[in-house]
Amino acid sequence: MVGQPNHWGFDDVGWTTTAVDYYRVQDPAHGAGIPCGLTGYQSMTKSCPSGSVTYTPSFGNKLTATTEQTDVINCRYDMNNSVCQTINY
Amino acid sequence: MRFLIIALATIFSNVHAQTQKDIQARHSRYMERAEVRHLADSATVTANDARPLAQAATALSEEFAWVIDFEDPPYYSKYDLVDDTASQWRAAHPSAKGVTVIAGDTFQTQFPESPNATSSLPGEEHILDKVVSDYNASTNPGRFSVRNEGDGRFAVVGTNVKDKKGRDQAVSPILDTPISIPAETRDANTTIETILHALTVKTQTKVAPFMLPQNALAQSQVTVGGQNIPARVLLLQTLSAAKMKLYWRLYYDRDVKMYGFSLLPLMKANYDASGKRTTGFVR
Repeated sequence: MVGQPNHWGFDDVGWTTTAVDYYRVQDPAHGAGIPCGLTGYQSMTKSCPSGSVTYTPSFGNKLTATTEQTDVINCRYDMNNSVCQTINY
Repeated sequence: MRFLIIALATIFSNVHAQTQKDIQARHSRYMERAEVRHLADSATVTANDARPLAQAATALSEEFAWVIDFEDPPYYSKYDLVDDTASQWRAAHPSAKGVTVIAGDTFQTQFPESPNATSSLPGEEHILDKVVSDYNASTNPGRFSVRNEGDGRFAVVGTNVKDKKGRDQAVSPILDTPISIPAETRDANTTIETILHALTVKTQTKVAPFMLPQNALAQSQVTVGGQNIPARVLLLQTLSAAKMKLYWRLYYDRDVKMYGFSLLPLMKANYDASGKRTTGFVR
């Protein structure tokens, strides 16, 4: 967890509902099409006596959040797997 | 009569085509990020964006690991906003109002640079004052001031817009609005949403959470609240308990008459021997 090394905690990936609503309506008028989204990279470290060790790939785990017209798709990719969730919104 | 219609249609078509050219030209000038150049005893920052001062502030933040909050004033006149409606969307929505964007363009500033100046809070404040002073002397939209918020952070706050006749109009920064929320222990994410909701109710202007580091905030418990306290103070109290360094961007969109509040992690630019730039979190 952020600020609490070597502890597990829930986390979330994705946009706020306000941002989804906003981009769905405003982006097309500005010339940016739907779907639209972002890709971010999540670096995870463990705290060892010798110091902090990064155990995700050097570029981090890939996270994506894509807004479509009637749903939102959030994905997390790690070294071996990926998991996505589609939310009808 | 038919000649008049054809003439008017031709004029409208030419104006529309020119508007699209202007939009494309403006977008092509926008920079992905502002550029900081270090000279012998000074530095320059060059920005080009709808919000060039915010872009410059982000560049300075990343260059020196400074926490700089930024707040739009509520722009509303044609002197501060320009049409940004895409032609395809316009063709599909011929009678709709269209959309605008803040009329920012290029901005350049220069300030004296020394290790003392960039590593001390008085030095940082002096540089930010110079940057904002240069911006206020430019033709870009809005006028701003620098606030020392304590705890090693500064805010660049919008203080003036142009009115409908193009005259300077002072505005009260929305985060200075006193609000009341119950003093309770909540996670930081819920606390920020509570503050923004109270601000929305008090000002009748929507102030919505936009991009928040939900995980970092959800894991921080804070006890914040009180009667008639500026929203800014409550936000600062909340962030002081967060487990990572965060700065805010409060952006106003006149088209929907809404502020979007985002919190971003403080990043520091690093350069390798070849000058390649990367950024890393500041813990």
